[in-house]
Amino acid sequence: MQQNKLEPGAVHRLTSKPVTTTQLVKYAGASGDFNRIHFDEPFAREKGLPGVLVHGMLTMAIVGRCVDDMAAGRARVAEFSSQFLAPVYVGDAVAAAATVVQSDSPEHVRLEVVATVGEKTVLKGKALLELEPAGA
Amino acid sequence: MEVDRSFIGTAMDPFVVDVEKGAIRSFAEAIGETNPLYFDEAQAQAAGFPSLIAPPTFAASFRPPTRQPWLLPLDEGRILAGEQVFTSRRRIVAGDVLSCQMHLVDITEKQGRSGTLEFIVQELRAHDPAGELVVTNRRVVIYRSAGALGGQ
Repeated sequence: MQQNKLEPGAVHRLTSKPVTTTQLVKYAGASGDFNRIHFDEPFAREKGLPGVLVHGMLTMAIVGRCVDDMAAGRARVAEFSSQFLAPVYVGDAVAAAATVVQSDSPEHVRLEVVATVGEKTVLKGKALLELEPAGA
Repeated sequence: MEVDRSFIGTAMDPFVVDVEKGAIRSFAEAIGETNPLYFDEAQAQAAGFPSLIAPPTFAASFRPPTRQPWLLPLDEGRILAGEQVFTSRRRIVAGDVLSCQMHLVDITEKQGRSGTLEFIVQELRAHDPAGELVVTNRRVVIYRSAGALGGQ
């Protein structure tokens, strides 16, 4: 497995494939979030939205893949938080970036995460990785 | 104020989540994961885990069997994701039996661009059979008043 450096300033990036309605239906099924604004376009429009909205939690999960890549089997994600700043729609590709920031403990790695669609920031958050001995 | 404040500090009935391999695989596939530790039990065991491990946001799928009573009267088309915080004491592994309970921590409000936004702070806490806290999932959902588009 590729090992990214976990020193302050290290960045890992990941861009998702454009999100499809099929993926939203799968995520709805896997997560149990069946709010119709995430798969029913007429309903979403009736509610004043321009189209079907991607689950905020799916956007966060895509960022989680980026965090996970950074952890790469040698650390556990002990905390992971996100604020949802702008809607993500079907067809959007989510670009996630995780940057290592200064940590106050040698057993932990702090990350700042951000997700963008084009120029727009859609999510900002933080993660705390807890380093584990190899094979833990 | 459209959300009933009398629910603040209350919790729903506990419910049990049996963490199943198929559920982990479906979740991992839906989020676009390819990490074998989420799909292939032999590889997860070779890495030192008892079975498949779950992705960091898997606890998002731990949902009470009935809708939160404080959300019931609300219009689902006006509910938006605000903030989400997962904390975990250890990894979730297939085979875990977790006792989960959904709490309503707080409700606050502020004025958005075109109406009132109410912030509903909910927290799901999952404990193992020994009573140890495994994960918490704090979710702040935003309820926009009719016509408001704020919070985004």
